[in-house]
Amino acid sequence: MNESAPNPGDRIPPDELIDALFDGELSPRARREVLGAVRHDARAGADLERTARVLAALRAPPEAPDLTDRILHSADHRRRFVPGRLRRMTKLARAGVVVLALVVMLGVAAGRRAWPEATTLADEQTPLADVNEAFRDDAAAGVGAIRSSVHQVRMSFQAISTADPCVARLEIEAAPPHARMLTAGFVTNPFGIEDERADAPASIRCGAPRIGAGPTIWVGSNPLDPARPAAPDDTP
Amino acid sequence: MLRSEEHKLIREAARGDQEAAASIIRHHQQSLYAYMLRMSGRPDVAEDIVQEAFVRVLTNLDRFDFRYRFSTWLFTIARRLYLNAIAKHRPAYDTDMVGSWKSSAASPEAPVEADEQQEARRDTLQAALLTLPPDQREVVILFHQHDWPIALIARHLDMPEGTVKSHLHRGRKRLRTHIEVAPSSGDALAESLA
Repeated sequence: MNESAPNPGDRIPPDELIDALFDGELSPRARREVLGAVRHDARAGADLERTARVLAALRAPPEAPDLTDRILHSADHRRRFVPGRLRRMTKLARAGVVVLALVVMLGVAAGRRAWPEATTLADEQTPLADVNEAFRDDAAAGVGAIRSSVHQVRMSFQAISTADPCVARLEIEAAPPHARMLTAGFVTNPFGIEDERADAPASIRCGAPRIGAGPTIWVGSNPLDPARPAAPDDTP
Repeated sequence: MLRSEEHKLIREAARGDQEAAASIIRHHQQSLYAYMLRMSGRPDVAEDIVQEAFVRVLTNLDRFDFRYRFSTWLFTIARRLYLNAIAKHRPAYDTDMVGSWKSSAASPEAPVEADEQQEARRDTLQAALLTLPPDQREVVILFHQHDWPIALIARHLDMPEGTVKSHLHRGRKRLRTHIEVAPSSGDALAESLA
């Protein structure tokens, strides 16, 4: 509240005080003082009075038509209002649904307590878990197979490089099919020795002599005479 | 109407109670109509906006925030509708408003002379209001006609309280000046209010 006010008769109150008066921000005492000061100036008094009358006229409400029915009719088109009787029935129906839900819940709870085995489902693995586990098993089996094949191939190479090719041949032939497939390029002609009889069994080709390799031990048939059986002392 | 009573009516109307909705309308339509009439100067525009504002409010009652005053919400919606209407029909709303206002207040039994005086008084006041810029007019109407506090007006119009006061002071000054330069109407106003 603005307590400052001019002394009556000293001077006309400034516009700020007049505005504060109309804004209702003056204390009762300041208000009385401003009004007293204004009375000493006819023009200021007339201005103040005229403003007050205009504002008082503004407060008088104009006659307004009753738009209630129009508004309700219009609103009803956009959102249906429910009559009182129907509204009460809706309330009862809602209460009934709530009571029914409570009864069902209590019944289920009582049933579980009385017959727990009848109301408890057995644990089951979820399909997703099964798929996950199967995938892991398959992956582990695949890795094991690849590891085994690689091991077989390594052993074959080792045999080829360190031992008699025929021994390697035997080892290779003893290897599982997938290992033989991996080493097929070496099996057919491991040392680059040409053999006209390309359709001869690997064991026969394996028996091809190596030049300067000393006595050859034939394994299987004699490549020069397939009718003859291989013999340790049979040199070409 | 007590605020708790109003909240109860709002809840009931939101649930579809037509009587509650009618009570809300009857309680607020007078002030909203006065607000729109003073702002637009045209009864037909005021009626249309009041109707549309109420319809929008009633169809969205479930969104009402009970922390605020219902009248503030209603007035805000009406104000937006009014601004939209101005934007669409600016020439018609900004001019030719005073002369087009034919008051529906007079009863058939009222003396013709009193009717004319009443109309002259209202025309003068409305003419004075329409000389104000829209912001000043709205501040003056909300403060002096609806007794809204300055802080509430500031929130409603989204402007600082100092600006609201400035609009209020200038608006009053312009109102007074308008009536001074129109002495005949000013005297008529003073006489009719005396």
